[in-house]
Amino acid sequence: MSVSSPANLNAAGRPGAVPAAVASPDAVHNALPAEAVDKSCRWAVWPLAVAALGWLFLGLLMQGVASFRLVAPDILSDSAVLTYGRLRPAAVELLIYGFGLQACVATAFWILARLGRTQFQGTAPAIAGWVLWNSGVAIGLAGILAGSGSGYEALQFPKYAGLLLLAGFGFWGVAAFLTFSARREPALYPSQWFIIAGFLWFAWIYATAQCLIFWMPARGVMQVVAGQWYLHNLKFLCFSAFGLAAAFYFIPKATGRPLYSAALAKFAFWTLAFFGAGGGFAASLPLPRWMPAVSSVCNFLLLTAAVAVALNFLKTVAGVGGAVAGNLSLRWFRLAVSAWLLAVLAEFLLSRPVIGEYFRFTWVTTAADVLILAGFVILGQLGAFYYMMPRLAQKDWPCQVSPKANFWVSSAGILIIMASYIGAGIAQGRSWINADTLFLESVTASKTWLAVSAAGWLLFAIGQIPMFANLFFMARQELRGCCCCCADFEAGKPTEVRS
Amino acid sequence: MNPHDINTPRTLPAEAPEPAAGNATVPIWLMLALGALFYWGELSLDSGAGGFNKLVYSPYFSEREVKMANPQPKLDPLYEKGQGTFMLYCAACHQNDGMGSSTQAPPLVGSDWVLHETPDRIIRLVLLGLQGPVKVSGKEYNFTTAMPPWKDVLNDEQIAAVLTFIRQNRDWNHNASSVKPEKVAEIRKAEAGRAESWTAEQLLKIP
Amino acid sequence: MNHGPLIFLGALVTMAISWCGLIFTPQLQLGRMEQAPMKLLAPAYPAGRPGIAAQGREVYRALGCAECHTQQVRPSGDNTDLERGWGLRRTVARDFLTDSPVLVGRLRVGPDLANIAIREPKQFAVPWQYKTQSNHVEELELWHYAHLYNPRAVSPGSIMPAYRYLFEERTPSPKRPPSLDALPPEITARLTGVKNGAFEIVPRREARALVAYLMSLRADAPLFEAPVQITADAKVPNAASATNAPAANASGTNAPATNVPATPAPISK
Repeated sequence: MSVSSPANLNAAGRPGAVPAAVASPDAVHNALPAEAVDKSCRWAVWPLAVAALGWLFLGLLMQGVASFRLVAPDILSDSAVLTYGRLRPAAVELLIYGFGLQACVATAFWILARLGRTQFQGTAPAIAGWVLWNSGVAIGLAGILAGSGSGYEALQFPKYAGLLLLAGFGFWGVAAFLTFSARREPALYPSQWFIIAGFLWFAWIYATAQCLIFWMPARGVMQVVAGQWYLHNLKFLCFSAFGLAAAFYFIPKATGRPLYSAALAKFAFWTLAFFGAGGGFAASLPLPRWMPAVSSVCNFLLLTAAVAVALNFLKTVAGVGGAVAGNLSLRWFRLAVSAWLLAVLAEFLLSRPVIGEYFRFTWVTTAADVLILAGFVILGQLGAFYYMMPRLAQKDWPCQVSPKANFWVSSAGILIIMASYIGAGIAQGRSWINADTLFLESVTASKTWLAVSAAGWLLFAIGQIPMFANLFFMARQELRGCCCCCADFEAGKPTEVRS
Repeated sequence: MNPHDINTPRTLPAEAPEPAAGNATVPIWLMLALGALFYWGELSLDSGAGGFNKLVYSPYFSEREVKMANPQPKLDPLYEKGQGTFMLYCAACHQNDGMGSSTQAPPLVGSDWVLHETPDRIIRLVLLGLQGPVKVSGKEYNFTTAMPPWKDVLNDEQIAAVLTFIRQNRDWNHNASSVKPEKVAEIRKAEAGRAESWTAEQLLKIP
Repeated sequence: MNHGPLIFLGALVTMAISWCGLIFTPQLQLGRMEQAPMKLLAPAYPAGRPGIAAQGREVYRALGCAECHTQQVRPSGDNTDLERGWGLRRTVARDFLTDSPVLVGRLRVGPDLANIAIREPKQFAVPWQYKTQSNHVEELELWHYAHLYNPRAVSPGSIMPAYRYLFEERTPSPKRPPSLDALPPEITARLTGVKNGAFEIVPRREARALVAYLMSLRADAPLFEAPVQITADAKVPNAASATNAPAANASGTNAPATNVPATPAPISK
């Protein structure tokens, strides 16, 4: 397929200075054509992507049920498995580990292979990792529902499950390393920096958290320190790295233009690496004041990374024509990157003394979590999947309406969830700031908002059904293709060469 | 192709080549902003991090503030008087800072004799003096000169005051109980028949 | 930035800095913390929770109570925790020294629990009053049992789940005589409407353990890093009420008394 190479055009779309990196992508020393790269990734990426989507749907449903149980606590109250205190942690773990990290790794594999213009290496470790990871998630889910949840946010899986996850991730790291080392394009694109870092960072923080909380439990409040450090780094280092890697890849891809500035991407990488790793400790925690002070300073400095990322993308898409602007990939990532920028801003605001303490312990903090987890990670990875999966299957999505339906319903769901949590949080904050109001008034004031959030989660879950429908149609096409081939063969007819 | 046909495989749309990164530079204002925020961050940590001290929690800003916020024990009224008496009579041998001297007197700072639960031993010691070797807080002392008796030089109130002073001296981190003049009077009466100074061994027999 | 190993090294260095500064240094400062010697009834604070309360901590964790309840009291100036009477002072690291896991929570869908064992009933989410002058410990325990069985019976408007499966509901019969551990009839009547003693609610072991844990939750011992300040408008838990380390007393636990130092000094800034 010949496509006019944008590489000879500068950011304004006119012939001009050639971008700093590769002049003509396909002139790279024995670069593998895209179709061959995609074909080599199939067995490694498909299982991860499909499993991730399955956990996503289950997790969103469980969160919806949990939110519903929160506002209607007397219904279904006789079962220990369905208590809010078990359902909600289980749902969040599914969204983070079942979907979040698995999807990030799937996308990372594909991006590494594509940017390296090479065949994907390490399919065996990728599959081994898949088996271990998903076993860990399944066992962990059962553990939480049975009452073995640890009580630490994002680390609820019992320790045996955590070990499986760590082992699985180790295998995935090996596959990523092998693919990266086999690259035929020596120059590195920003996505690759973020992916390398993302793999290292998750392995480190997860091992630390598992060690200090489960295997060699630290004394007293050190467990909270480890848990908070892990949670913050998960969001602002690991997920940010993998998500930004995807954004750096897909946004220029969708517009057909080069990324505006490698230097800005470098700036964003190092400021994220330093300041994304410093936060996490709220002033309310029972910790000496230097720890929240360091977090507060780091959160402020992280804003520079956000500005760098925002500037880079704004300039990359500036002046893009109408048809391209409506490109669905661009839509997903526009929303996802905006969510990330807002999440960084929210993290900064919540670490300021006055605003932070007004909203501390309210639903607004949950809204900030939803912003980065659902708004950035889920939307971003879904956007990546919508681009990547047809290319792995070598055919476009059968139903062209479904992706749009998925996008709009998911976005609507997330907006409803965020708005309702923010509303509930503000109602709580207003009630608590006055010491004479009863605590129960804050519960009453936030109840309606929470009911709306339950509807939002269910809507978000329903929004994934179009994706499953599309996958089903695609699978059916694939099978029919095989069946046609077999039928022709048996009938003695010359079989068509499948494209 | 019919957009609603879900049975026929669709061809993929054309895609752009792999993305490349442009060579625009980082704007200078962003670098300046980073520098400014760095500076602000350092100032903020200087004032708000409590010196990275593990005992400083908000709302306190320094360990000194925490110390001040802790309840300060009320000073016994005899304390000030005792300080004067100490300087006048005891500092000559035990030194102004209570650290004693190698030739004249053992240290009072941190002394297990001074900080013993009851002041009975040191009341007797001050009344009648001490001779011979003595072990103070694990160290052996044996001075050529003995501690003189003070029962004829200091009255009950003075003895109670000076003992209260050495038992509650904040600079020495002492926080033991005070000594009442009535207690001194009681012990003076009990030991009225005794004339010779004590040895450490004898005093240690007293609870 | 074209060398993979260099990027890896850079990413490793930044992570190492974060780990050294925010995991290793706190471990040196907080991870080997010892109990604070106290000149109060118990020699060291905090003492470990008594056995059944430690089991209750596991029940607390397994039911996911930390999803909705916090155990963190904020200092004066940071919102209104102290003014609400949720503690005499802020919580600090040493308060959680003997706990594992440490479930400080992050969301207040329900009230804070750091000092629930010494909180006055009028400071509860829905205020109530002791009926007796002296049996406060037992009254508070019964309140907790009733609240766990059906929160809305004692706290109208609450959205806390009803943990009925922590209790055994039985009808006494000649073969199964009434249980000594059952909740008193007037409470059963209030919870279920059944008045004539034909139905009894018996807390299971998990409920007992959980309530024992709740009755051990207090963080009011004055410490060097968190001296207890009494200001004019603070709602001080009534030290005279007998909620001092309740059933836990029999097992010989901590329970530093809620005595307030004689002359609290004002904070000087």
